[in-house]
Amino acid sequence: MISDQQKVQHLYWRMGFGPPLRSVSEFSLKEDISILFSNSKNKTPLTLHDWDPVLAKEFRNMTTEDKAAYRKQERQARIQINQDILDRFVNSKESLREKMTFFWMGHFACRIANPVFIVKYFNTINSLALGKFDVLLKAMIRNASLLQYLNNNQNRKSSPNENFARELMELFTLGIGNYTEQDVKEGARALTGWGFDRFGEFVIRKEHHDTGNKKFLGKEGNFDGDDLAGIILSKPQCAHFITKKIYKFFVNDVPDEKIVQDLSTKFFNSGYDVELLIQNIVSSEWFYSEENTGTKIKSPLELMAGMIRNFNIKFENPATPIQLQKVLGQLLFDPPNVAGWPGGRNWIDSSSLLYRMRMPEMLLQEAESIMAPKESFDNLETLKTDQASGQGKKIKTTFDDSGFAKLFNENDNIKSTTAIMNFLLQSPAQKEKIDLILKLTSEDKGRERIFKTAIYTMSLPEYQLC
Amino acid sequence: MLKTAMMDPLNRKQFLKLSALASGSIFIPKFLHGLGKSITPLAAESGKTLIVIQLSGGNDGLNTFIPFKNDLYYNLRPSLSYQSSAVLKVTSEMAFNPGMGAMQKIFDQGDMGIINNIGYPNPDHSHFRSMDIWTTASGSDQYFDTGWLGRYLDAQCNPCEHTHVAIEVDDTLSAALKGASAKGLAISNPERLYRVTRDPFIRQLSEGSNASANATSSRSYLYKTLTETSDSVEYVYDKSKIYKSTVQYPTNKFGNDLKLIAELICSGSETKVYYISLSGFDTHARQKQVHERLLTTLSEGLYAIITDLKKNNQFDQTMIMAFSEFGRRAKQNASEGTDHGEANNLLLFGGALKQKGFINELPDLNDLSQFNLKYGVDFRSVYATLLSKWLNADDQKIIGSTFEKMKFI
Repeated sequence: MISDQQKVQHLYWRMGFGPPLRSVSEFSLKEDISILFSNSKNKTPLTLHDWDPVLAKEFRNMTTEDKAAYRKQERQARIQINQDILDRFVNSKESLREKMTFFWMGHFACRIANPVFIVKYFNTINSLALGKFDVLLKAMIRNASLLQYLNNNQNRKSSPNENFARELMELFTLGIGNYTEQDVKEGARALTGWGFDRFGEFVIRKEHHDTGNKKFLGKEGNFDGDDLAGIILSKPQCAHFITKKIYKFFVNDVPDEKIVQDLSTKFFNSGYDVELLIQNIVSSEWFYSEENTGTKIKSPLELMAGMIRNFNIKFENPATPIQLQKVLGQLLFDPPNVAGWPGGRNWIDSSSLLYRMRMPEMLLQEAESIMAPKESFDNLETLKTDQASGQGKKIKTTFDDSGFAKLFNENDNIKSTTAIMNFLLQSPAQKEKIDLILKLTSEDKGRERIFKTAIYTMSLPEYQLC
Repeated sequence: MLKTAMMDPLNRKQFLKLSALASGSIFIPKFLHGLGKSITPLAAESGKTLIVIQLSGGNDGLNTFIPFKNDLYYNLRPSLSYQSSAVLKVTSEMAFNPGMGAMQKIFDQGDMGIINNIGYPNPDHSHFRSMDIWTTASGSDQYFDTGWLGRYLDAQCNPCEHTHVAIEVDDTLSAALKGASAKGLAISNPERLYRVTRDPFIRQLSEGSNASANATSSRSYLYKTLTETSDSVEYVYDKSKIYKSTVQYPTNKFGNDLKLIAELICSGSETKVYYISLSGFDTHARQKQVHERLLTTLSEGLYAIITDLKKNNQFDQTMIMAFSEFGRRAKQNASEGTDHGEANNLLLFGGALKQKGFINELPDLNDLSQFNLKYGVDFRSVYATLLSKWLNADDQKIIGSTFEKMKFI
């Protein structure tokens, strides 16, 4: 049986980055759903501060020292962005919007190094995350980062580059098997000349655009990128493809085909209303079933955000969260390829599991870090940082456990240990784990005992699940 | 600051508390317990081993193996070429980079094969994407979730009980060694990782009743991974103590990593695949000095491990492959460096090599694609050859399509 408390926590884990530090007695599924949606009506753009990009020409004319200084500033801007986004995941009231943004960042997966491009990409997705998918799709076809990543600046009438057209159908809308190689070729022609300038603004280079007749997915005409989107969106398969991916991300790695079909029909009939699709998921009973609760492996960012929120952790070195993301295998704006992060069991291997289990101690008890991230391939684009969290180093943090501690009774050991574990774990703790932690904390008192209980609980394999 | 037992694995009081809770198994001497029994004599395990060396950043093949009689080479690289007086000549037309003295010795011993023009169709110039293609063995228009050696693990041992079948000498695991169900073990310092897994709290969890469960649920998958990790780390730690090499390795990380691999091989570890990286090959500017130094590191490390393996009669059972995600542009750039290119060389070492020296035709500098070397051999042919002829595995199933096998094995 899934308790009411677990259901509310489930809602916050799946539709956000974990439950807020609130007393369980204040939880109410109906109200929490309504708060989640109303808070996410709001949109807060990400801003780029303390950094001004220079033109490529100016950059070329700089001295070697100035170039190095500029690169350093650019790195710092990336660190700042990473920090700001992590902070949104941890603290933003618009948690559903942030989570949906996180999903789309894995969907329209893209490696971006330029801070201006990163901010534009993030804000486009964030502002359209819960709207109509057709609007988002059309905006992403015009997004500089995506156009750059998929080589569309090299897609010209004289020598078409098929990369963008192919991924548009294979990964962003229809899935393999629902289009032909000829559709890829014709789609690429429709996208010729669609590019961006150095400020990250979309431009159409008319001289490179192919204005001829194209045959695409059974339609014929002088198509451009918007027309491609329109034709693709008219196929129910597109709604099915997106629905299935959303189901796998928010509900279960293994899709229930009947439910996906039902959701997808409603999604298509609503004109691709993403918010309504999410409403349909969270208002269902199956969303809170045993097989869907506490069974997903947290992504590295979900894991980090949850811990940081519980103890209001601050990093002395702002680059530390980037190092953690690298070791755990999910650095923002650096997916393995355009297919995004595979997720699920792919997050877990021998070293990443040990690292995850040691993280509470590393962040809250100055335990030595047991691993360092791999060196990057290149010297230019990389998100270089110092080795703040390298092997044997200690991660310097400050934190505040008062918000967490006040949710639990300091005196009744058994009751509060169970309460802490129920708050932190979505996969129910077995009696032997409760006994183990009780034993380990038996000589500790009051707030210290609550703190240690939380650390042990967050070090359990069960804490990797949500 | 609070302290707990987890911070200090040797905290006696906490350890005793845990011991009281633990099953009796903790007190069984290790040599009677599971993996502890497999302390085998040196190199008792026969069987073939593959060592994969990833040269990250894009090694410049054309300044690694230098066509010192080819005018086109000197035209393409007016200030980045090596004069014929400076290079290490190995054939009438080819020479090694001056930093590769140690590798020249390997070549002269007949222990080395070089495949030219290695690459794949529609090459990608991004490090990240091209490395993704090499590690997952995909085509340039395909995206795979799993690595080629991970899929080898999936195919070979189902279920895979020991992650040490494939070891990456590093802290974190490369995509190459991640399969759908089986994954390799990343380990850079066996003793350190052993101490982590012996932490009383982690040990309690890895030896608990959850351990034996099938990995059907996510939860049991996590516990299964934890138990396998502890077992494999203990296995590797035990093996690493058996044979201590007396061969002189270069005193750098790459040398140390290779030494660990040699020690594990000579101790009879069950490991079939070792994976190791050397990075820094992205030489866009002032290339010569950096590149030479890297090639020296590579050459001296290889010379040491080959010497070590020969001494222990293991070289005939070992195949070493070194690759890079792409070659560099044949034409130098304006910063005394080279930009991202396409086809490259792939290096093979082993006592069982059937083809030695420069195995196929040399790069044609007359036939470039926008100043890049064109590919002639698909890297997946090399993978297919290693998988089927060396590791006895089903290459077609693992790679996902058929590639012609080569004759070097």
